[in-house]
Amino acid sequence: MFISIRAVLLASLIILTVVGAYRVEEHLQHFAGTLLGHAVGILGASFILIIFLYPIRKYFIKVGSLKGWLNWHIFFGLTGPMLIMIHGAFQFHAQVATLAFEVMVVNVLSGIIGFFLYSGLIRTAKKRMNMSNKVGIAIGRKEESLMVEATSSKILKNWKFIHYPLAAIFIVIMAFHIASVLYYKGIGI
Amino acid sequence: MKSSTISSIIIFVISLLLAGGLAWGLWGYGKQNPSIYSPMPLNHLHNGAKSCSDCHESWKGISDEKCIKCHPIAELTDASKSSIASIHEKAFITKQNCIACHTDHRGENGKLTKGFDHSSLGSSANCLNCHQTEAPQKDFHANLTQNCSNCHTTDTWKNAKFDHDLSEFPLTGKHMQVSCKDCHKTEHLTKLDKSCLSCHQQDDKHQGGMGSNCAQCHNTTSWQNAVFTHDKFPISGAHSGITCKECHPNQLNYRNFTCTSCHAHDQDRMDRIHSRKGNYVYSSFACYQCHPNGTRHGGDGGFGRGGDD
Repeated sequence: MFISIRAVLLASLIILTVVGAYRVEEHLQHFAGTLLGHAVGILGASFILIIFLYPIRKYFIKVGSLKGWLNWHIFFGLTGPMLIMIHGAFQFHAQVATLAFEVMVVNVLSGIIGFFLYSGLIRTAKKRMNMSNKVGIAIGRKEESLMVEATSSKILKNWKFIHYPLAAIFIVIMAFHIASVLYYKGIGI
Repeated sequence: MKSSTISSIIIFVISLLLAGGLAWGLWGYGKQNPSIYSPMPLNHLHNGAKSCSDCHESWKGISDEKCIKCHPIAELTDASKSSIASIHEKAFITKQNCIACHTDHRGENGKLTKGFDHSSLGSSANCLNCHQTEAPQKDFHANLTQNCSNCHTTDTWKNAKFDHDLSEFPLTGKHMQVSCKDCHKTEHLTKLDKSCLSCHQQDDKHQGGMGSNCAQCHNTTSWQNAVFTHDKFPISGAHSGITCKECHPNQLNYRNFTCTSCHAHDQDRMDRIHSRKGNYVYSSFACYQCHPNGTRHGGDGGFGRGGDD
């Protein structure tokens, strides 16, 4: 089985984050509520909001290459939750925050599954396109048409029924968590 | 309309409905049960709070005015009512917010202070005035009368430096080289059984045969070079120069010994001679009890103990 360097790096980064998050609370108790903890949380939440630029680009505002947007979607979709993991430091006390964390993890996992499904479909679509040897299509257009073909497959359509609603649920719970912190701790935290 | 567009619309609608429903549900449930937002329970001293707004002001956080409603300044700065009155006084003069030093939502027995500058307390401060709830109430700490600062610093409770010479078990020899956890297995430093065998049961080469007080012969520097004084039966005269195992054939238990391996005593004859002795047993140990100097009529024979035959 072929394992890319990127996958190994990613797995290492995730493991390091998980270990780091455990260690954070050991040294800085109640980390999430500290100034640094808030800063990490705000950065993580900002990264997560950036993730939603991809569906906006995909369905509403057609600017730039879709593949490039997807790459950023994946990048922020992994680094944002990692920062949130450090922010939370595996302290599951507040129910809303805990729920937000759990939904986030499930959503990231569904995103990772979607990425592998998508990669497989792209490979298949590329092979088919090479075989039919369509000439005269600009590289950018070819790439986009590959993506459209891959994302239109039945399996990815079904996958969207999980990933999209989970994302919506997560964003609502995260919003409630942030709002409650601002409401009870004050806007000038 | 393409099927992919239709499914995308369906997914969006489902997502929006779920998000909206969840938001509506959370809003309602959170109003009834604001504890779902609470990081941890309040300290038990704040159990009297009826609602979040007793301490929290919407979008502004904790206000000093609300703290003072329950904790009047007069009480906080009264030395007869507060052990840290002078600190409170200084804080009010410098217009410090209560939450600059205080916190909550760290559990029922959680801390109520944070990042406190201990240097303002002076050297005569009693740690337990503020740290009563944190002081471990069991095991090693239970009987402590010392000041916490003898072992701990104000930076952290961890990495305490404990002078074992102050304890009932000063560390010497090899005991000085082992880590605390080698003996104190639990997180709390429990007071251990001081007997040697409580830790060295597996090291006892005599398998209990020499009793439990290893220090009679051994020291803490090494198990080797033990010094044994044969004071109950001093070795002299013809006994000088013979090896231990000639009298103690079972080297796992030096309490057992035999005299008859060298000093032949026919059992039938001995049984006959002692037939009128009530507690007579044919064993070297029993012989020694009545004949400590080896003579027929006993007597101390210069060994410091008497026999009565």
